[in-house]
Amino acid sequence: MTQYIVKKLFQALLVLLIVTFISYLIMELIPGDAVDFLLGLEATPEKAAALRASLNLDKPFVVRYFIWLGGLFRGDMGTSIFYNDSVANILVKKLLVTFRMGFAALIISTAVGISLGVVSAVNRGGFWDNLISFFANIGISIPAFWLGILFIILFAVKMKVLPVQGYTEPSADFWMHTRQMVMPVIVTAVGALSSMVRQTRSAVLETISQDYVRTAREKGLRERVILMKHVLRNALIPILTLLGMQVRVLFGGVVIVENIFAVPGMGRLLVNSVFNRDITVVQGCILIMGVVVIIANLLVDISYGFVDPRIREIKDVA
Amino acid sequence: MDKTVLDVKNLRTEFRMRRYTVYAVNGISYDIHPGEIVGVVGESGCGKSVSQMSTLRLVPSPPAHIEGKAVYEGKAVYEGKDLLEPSNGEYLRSVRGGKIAMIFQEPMTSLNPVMKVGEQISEAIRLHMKLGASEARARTIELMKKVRIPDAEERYDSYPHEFSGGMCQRLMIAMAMSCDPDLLIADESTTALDVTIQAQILEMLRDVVRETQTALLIVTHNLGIVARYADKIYVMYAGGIVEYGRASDIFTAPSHAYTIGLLNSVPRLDDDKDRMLMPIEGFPPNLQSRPTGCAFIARCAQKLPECESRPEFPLRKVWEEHYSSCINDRLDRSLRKSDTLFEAKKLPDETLLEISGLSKEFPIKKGILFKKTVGNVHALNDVSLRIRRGETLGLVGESGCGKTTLARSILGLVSPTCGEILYQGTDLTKLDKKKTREMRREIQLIFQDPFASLDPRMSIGGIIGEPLVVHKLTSGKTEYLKRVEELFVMVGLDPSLRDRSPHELSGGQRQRVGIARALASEPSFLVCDEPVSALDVSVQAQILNLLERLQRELGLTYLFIAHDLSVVRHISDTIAVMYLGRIVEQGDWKTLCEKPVHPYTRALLSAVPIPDPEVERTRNIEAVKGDVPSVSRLPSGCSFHPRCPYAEAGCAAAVPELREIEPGHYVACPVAEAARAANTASGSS
Repeated sequence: MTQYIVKKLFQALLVLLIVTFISYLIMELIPGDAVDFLLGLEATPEKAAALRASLNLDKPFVVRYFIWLGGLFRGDMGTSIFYNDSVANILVKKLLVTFRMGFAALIISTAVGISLGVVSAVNRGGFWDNLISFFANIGISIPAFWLGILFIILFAVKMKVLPVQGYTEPSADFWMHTRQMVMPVIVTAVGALSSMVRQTRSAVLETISQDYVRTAREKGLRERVILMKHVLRNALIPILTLLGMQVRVLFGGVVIVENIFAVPGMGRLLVNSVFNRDITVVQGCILIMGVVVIIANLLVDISYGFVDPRIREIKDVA
Repeated sequence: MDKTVLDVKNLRTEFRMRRYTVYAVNGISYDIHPGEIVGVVGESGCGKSVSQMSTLRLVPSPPAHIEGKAVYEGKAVYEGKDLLEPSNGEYLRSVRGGKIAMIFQEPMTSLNPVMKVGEQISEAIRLHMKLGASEARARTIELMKKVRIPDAEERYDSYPHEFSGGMCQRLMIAMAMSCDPDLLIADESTTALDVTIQAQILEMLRDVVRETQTALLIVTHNLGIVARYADKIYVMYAGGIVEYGRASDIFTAPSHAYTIGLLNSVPRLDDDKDRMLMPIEGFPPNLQSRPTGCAFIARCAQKLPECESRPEFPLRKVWEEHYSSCINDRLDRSLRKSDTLFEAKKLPDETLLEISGLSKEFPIKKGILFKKTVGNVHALNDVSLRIRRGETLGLVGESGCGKTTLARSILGLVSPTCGEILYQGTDLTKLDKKKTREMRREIQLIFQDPFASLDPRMSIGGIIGEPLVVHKLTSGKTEYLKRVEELFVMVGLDPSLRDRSPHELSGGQRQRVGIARALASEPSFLVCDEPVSALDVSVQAQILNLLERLQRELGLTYLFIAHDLSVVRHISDTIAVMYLGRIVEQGDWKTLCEKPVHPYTRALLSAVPIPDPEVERTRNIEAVKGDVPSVSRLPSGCSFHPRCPYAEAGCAAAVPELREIEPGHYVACPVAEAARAANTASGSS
């Protein structure tokens, strides 16, 4: 198992290198750089050149990438050109906001998704199955930004039960924080929840028709015991796989949702920094997202082994 | 014997689908008495399994709809309750697993892969016997010992994938026996296992059942198994019971045309070689309409004029405790001898294919980034064979013995590690890609699974004609169509099926398509890899007869690979027995089947049940112990020695060489050879 984790971490490192390099390259290819934005109308060729030199922006792109990478190995994520603060400092504040939101969405989508999926599978072809499947299909096809706007119009503008947008620290006003978070969290969770429902439904249906479930039934066990003890654990593998992917999808969703609801999290930071050509902040965001996604998938991989002894064995060998 | 454990009356099971209904079981009645072994036989789709699962309401409902009565009386209770009555749901659950237990066909998939096996057994014990965790554990271990699981205490915490198929089936039996049931239903429970393991399991089941006075119901398609074990037999066809009676009566005086057909279509180990298999022509009905009249009438070779007009065929008494629904009371039970088939077969001494010293190792690889070879799977080990033109060489052995690897090596689908394969003097292992492709015109393969081996998106005509296009064997459209039609006729297929897709055909028809495709390029050598093992016995006989006819007409040479010794014996001129990658005995069919020398061959032969209770009663079963070892961890010396009843100290030391003990008879066992020599010496003196 340790060998397996080491191998996976090694692969993850390679992936991170490639991802950050590509994002650096893309930022380079976008016309204009931070200096144009910083100087604005006051720009003269001399001033710009001097500023570029002081910011290392006159060096070739590959060299700059390696300077950034070198800093990373010393624990230095660089300094933001725009905010004039260390990237690590900026990220820590924003990360907390995003994590809180993303985590809430993940918990909700997983718990509700699995429960509804099981209900749907057990009542296959019945009323509840049809109802749940219907909404799950809608949930998958609705774009988050559209649903977000719809929610704002409905709950904030028409019904006036929730604030339109904005963000309050939970330490400052917890009630306000919760009310502000309801819509962004739900909008983020809907897509993930729907795919979780569908995945759970098909996994449970697949498992229910297996021979060993027939054996369990033949033993005289109650349907509920069969479901909890024999079916769910076997259905968990495809559900876990989806869970690993959900983390990535949720991150993508957060970037959009944060912008709709004006939540000052990492998604918003990333979008603003791209516009500001604040390359170190962009790199920092990408790196953090990459690390989180990789850790999530590694956790999923490890948990396979706990769920299924056969996989445990394969990993011990590999 | 008037006390019954389970009394089933007029059981009907219908699967009501959206577009159609399948009438799977149509009003059957049967009963089982304590300590009795009952066999239910029939071909696939006859409703034998569905009826058993219906009595315990284990078929998914909906779509299934079950009617009738299944009164469970048990050994002690005198007031039975109907298991099929919906209000008795709670009672049914207490009977399931507690009083009536089932053992299913696929042992590997019938156990929950993510639960410890001990837990799976003790789960039922805790539920039905109301025992605590530690008592249930103790009982589980005791049961595991009883079904002869080695190191039961330690294996309690193992998972199903750590056991072989045979061991999994033992665990299933332990589970079924766990709450002292009154009735055990074994639903094709040994079909997926190798013959030697099948014999072990069935012998054990019988002992356990006899010891505890449990009733045993064996559901199987294998007539030999019921002949060997059953006291009473029910024969099912198209969802109904067509005949039942004491086992000895059913086999000596079968009284339904279908039972006779079934018995005449299976090859037997004690057959005369020139007996002709008599297949039941046609296919069973699809049961999408409720059968009226005699369901067998379309395939019946012995029907009477009044059969057509009669609306009902109730079971009538033909003898003491022997009932049949057939109204023909002058049924022809005789077996037919084939007239021309075997006597005319004279083999020229011309070698077509010669294999010498063939070995194949598959490396096992491990490592994080760079894979290292840490071991080898020895699929083939120094195999040598000679096949003469026009001959059928039968290759038998249990799963994992290397039969298929050998077939694939000949076809150039795997490249052997060493050794040579000479086909008319050319070494097939040294051919380049182009030459190998050309050689495939000459050497063709018939696959095991007629369902998976045909491209579902191609038409039947396209599948059969494809080799003609690939090898550019016909010029022009008319010649192509003519040749395809010729192939259809040759294998007994209606050319009008040309535009159908494979899924519209039955298993037997598909296998004919596979044969026609193989014959398209006019090969002279056919490798048949388990060509009939997926087919029902009545259809199996059709295919075997077809293969024999084609050999005679086209002068083909066959390498016939199978695990069923009675089939191999029927079709082969020479037989080679393989065990773990080596040939252990080889000889002409007569010597090999009647005077086998190698202990493994003898075990194999005695493990195959013969569909005749009289013969079975006098047979001495030489059961071998243990499982077939993994080919990645071969035992030292003779691979068979850990299971061999005659093993001596020297057997583990050296690999015995295959020696010719009399002309054409090769054996790789010095111990048996010495014993035989001593026997002959004492016999002649």
